[in-house]
Amino acid sequence: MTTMQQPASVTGAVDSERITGYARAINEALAEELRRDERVFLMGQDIGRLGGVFGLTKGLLEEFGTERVRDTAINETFIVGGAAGAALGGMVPVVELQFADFLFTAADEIFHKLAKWRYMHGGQFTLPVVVRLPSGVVGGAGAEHSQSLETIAMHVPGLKVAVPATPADAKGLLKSAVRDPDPVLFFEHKGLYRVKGPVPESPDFVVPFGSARVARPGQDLTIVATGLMVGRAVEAAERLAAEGIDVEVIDPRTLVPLDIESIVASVEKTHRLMVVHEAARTAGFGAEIAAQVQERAFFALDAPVWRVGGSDIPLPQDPTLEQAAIPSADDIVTAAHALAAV
Amino acid sequence: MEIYRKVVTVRFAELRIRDHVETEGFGGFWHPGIGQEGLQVGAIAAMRPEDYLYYAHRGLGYAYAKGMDMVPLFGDLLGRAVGSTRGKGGGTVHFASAEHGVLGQGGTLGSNFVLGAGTALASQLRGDGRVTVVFFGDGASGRGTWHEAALQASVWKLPVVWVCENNGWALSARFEDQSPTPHVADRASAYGMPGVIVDGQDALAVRDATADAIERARRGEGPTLIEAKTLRIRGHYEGDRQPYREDQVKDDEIPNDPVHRLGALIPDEQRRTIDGDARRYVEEAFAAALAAPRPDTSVIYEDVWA
Amino acid sequence: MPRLGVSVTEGTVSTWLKEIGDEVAVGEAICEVSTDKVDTEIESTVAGIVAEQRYAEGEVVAVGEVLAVVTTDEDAAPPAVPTPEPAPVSTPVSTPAPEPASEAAPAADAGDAGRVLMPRLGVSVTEGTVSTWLKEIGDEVAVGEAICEVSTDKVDTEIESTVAGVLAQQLHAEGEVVLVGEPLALVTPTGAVGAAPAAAPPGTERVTADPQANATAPAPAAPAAPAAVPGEPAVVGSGPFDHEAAIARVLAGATRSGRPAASPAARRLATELGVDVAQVTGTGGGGHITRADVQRRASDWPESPQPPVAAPAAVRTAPVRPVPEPASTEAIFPPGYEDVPFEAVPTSRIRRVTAEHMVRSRRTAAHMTTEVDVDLGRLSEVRATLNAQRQQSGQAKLSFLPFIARAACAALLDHPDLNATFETERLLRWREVNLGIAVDTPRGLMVPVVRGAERLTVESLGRAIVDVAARVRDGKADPDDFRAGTFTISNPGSVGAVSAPAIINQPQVGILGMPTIVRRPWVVRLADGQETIAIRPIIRLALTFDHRAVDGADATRCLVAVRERLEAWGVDDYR
Repeated sequence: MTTMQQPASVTGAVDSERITGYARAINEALAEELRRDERVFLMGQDIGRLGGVFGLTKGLLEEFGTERVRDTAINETFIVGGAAGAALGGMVPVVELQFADFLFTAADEIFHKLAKWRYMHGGQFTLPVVVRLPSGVVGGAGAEHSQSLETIAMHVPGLKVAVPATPADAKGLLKSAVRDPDPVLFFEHKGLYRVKGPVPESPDFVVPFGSARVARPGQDLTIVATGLMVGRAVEAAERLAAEGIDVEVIDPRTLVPLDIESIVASVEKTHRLMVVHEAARTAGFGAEIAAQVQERAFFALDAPVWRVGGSDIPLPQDPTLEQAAIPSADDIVTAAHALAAV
Repeated sequence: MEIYRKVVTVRFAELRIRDHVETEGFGGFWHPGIGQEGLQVGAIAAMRPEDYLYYAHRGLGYAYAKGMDMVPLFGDLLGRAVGSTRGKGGGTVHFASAEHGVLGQGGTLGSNFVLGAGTALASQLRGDGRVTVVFFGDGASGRGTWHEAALQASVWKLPVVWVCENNGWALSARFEDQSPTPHVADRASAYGMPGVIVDGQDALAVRDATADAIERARRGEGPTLIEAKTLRIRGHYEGDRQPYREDQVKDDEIPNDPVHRLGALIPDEQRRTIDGDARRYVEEAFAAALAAPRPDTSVIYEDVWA
Repeated sequence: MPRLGVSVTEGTVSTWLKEIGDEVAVGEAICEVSTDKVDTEIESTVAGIVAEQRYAEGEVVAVGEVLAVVTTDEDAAPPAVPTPEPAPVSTPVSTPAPEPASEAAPAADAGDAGRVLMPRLGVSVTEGTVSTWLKEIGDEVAVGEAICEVSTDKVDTEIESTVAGVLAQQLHAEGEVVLVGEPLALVTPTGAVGAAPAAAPPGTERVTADPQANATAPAPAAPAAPAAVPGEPAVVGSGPFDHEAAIARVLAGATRSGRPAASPAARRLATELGVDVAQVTGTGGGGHITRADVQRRASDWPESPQPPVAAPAAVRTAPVRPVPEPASTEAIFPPGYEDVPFEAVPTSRIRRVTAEHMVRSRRTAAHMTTEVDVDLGRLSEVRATLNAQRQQSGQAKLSFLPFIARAACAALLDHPDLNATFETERLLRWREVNLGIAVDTPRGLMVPVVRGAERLTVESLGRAIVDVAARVRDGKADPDDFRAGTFTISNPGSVGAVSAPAIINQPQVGILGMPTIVRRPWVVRLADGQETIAIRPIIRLALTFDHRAVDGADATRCLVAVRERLEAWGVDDYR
């Protein structure tokens, strides 16, 4: 899990000596964007005086003041709906739902207002809103505070979906998200907040949406993974390499838009595909990628496209049980072994 | 006189649309606003052109009053390329004009509360001096979004005015069956804002009450809740036979008709001229919209992304 | 009793769903079985009447054992006569039907029926070494029972029989290397060699109504029962996901469709190579056909005579967008070139044959080239002397080609693996060197053959080359001039090439490329042992070889032998 690879990127490796944490990278991206564009402001529960329950917005209130770093009541419909309204009034809101799970409490605002307002009104408006969504398991947060809901966002046209797995991507994608004219759901993984990695210092560093990263090159099997699962896939790949199975790990980085080209190109090379996600196995984004790959590269396949996903259960609270519910590096290795029999 | 002209224009438009729906049919739901034109036009008359409007779903009087032409409004209704949404928001719900500060409407009732508060927040942050007026019905006041938006708007003293059109009916639900207090305005005190009750059939009274609230908001003193008491003349949508309703208003009898009340203030001859012009304008606009081409189906792939 | 998971070896009959005398259809559940992994219903692989329940409820059944006997005729339990062909109760599922021997299918394929093949043991594992035989000839084996241990560079593992019966042959001794897909053992019903059950493909067994037959023929390794029974409403469930069981289910169903099971990529390759997948023996999991299987079949020479039926090139170059079949070849453009002026030149038959051959060779052989620099200084002097003599007697001059060709013949005699044809399971070393000479003709590249070149002197070899090349250029060559080549020389140096890797002329193993001779500064050793730089005529000979057949070191040794002969050429050598 700690074998975060130096990205051998398809879009340029991270060229930085500076090592920074994922959470710090997000904080830095927010500060830089607040400095760059006065239309940018932040809103959410406990993001100001406390600096966020996960500390992501620490120090921002001090620099940018209560006008631009706003603590709200517990009112997710306002946090998201108000952001939509503020965008209509000319602002660039970056709001935080304390847990990604709360997108269900603001579902009307996210899936109807953010996703459809522009369309329903004939393209007269743009809604440059970023909704930050602390996502995934973090060790004991329970069934309503630990989910990975990115696939649900993929299913509603009008929303862009980012799923950073490294500190550099967290920063670069968030900055792209703020600058994007469309609403972006930014699924930052709570379990990665403390992971460190190289992050460029330049305020001009951005990671474009829709470009996958090759987290580990390989020849025998392509594994597509996001978020926390990227590190586990890379760890599994190192173990499989010792057995002669050379795995290529691809992190799409954004699910909308999805860089299916890079995935297909990899499958054309390896002839085998496995998708790993923390979200429940059924109808996760793995299903979508599997479908798209067989639609586009059916005759490149040597074996069924395989999915390794979280169990189809609500996430249990106890941290040990919780880990049993999501894919481990062991699970990925097991699945790869099983698949090698084909 | 300008208020009268707009109110009577909206009335003719309401009648023209009803005529069309009854004779030609219509691919959607028309939520008639007949009888409520007075308060809609009256309230909006208190707004500046640059102020922001979130309207409710009952009629198209709001948008016309805010400065939009009738052609794009009819165009939306008729699914024509000249409609402001080119068939994608359509019907009577989602017309919009960025130019006129008509910011649109959500299809889930009561979703405008939080958007309105957010737009008012933008004005506060930008210091642009604009006020956002949000219309809603008594039915939508039951939404949780009302609470979340009203609370935050008051806490932050956002420049927003809440205008409740209480016509006594939320589709089939009687207001008195769904409210523990006799008035929506009674709830204002919980949010630390003034609650004002006004006769919704009296356009000028609504205008004055709204003007006060807008001024207050512009001064930075925060939101006001205005409750305009009115009547729902027709069903929830045109074609709704209202089996749940014993007090059905006969079509031609609009009690306390705002058109008549305003008209009484104007000399007959002048009023007849205004009426004639308004009728002609509505007929021409409707004919122009009807004659306009339907949008190419390719528009369905546009405007998903910026 | 089917396999219900990779590591499941037995199960307990919990409930019989069909009683003796009940009718069952294929796929209908006959009993419930519970294992340590799953509880599942076992579906009948046979249609008919339940004649016998071999196990009582609560009894443990090993994978591969007969659970029940199903007959087509209620009276036939127990029947008096073995059921005649065609067996009315044959199992319709599992593995492709073997090719009937009556069709002109290669014997190797027909014989696969009773064979246990070396399975794939990993993505990159291509062979293994038999370490220990666990079953001896004459031993009874069941499906799934280990017959031997095999070690590879990755794993040591037991190989399970895919056939039930008696071990008739161990086809490899302990210590021998076995390629993936090669037969390891022969299992027949009685243990008799030559009695391979032609009608019983691996993993499939006919359950006849004959109790005798049943005693020696355990039930098939039927596909693992699917999680849900078709026709039943689906129910929600939230168990852990068992990847091994799921893969096992996929593999068990590999042949369910009744057509050859091939991966999509293998099917594409088969189309490209013009291979009929029905003729390919699958060595992938569940017996499915892999790309390697198709590749092996395509390179099986001379057993794959069928040329590509449809022009495979058209398949490869077809635009990605689906376009209607073109009325003429002019209708297809590479995408994006529609507005480029062009001239359409029809390809000649030779061009098309060459194109097909080149692509097939590239796809078949593992091409590798080794090169050496040869100092032709000494040979130049010899050649000058020789040509001076020839001129006096009115003979034409000799080029360098016959010298190099002659040296190559000599080297090939010492390195016979390069004068050969490679088949996966054997290498045919040809006992004469039939030297192909690539000739550049106005009609295209042609490769006539000089038979028995190793028996010719350098001068007669030179004459033979000149003669056959002339016949080809003049269009007077006959089919015999082109057949039976065992090694080829290509001479792009004649038109100025400075390096000469080539495409192997199938079904040969090697091709020698002669680039142009270049005068180079060269370190030479003087008679007194001192080194100096001299101008020498150097040629960089290139031997392209099929790495499947020979390794780089051996090929290079052969090429070095050519060099040594050329550099030490005496005036009377090979005369």
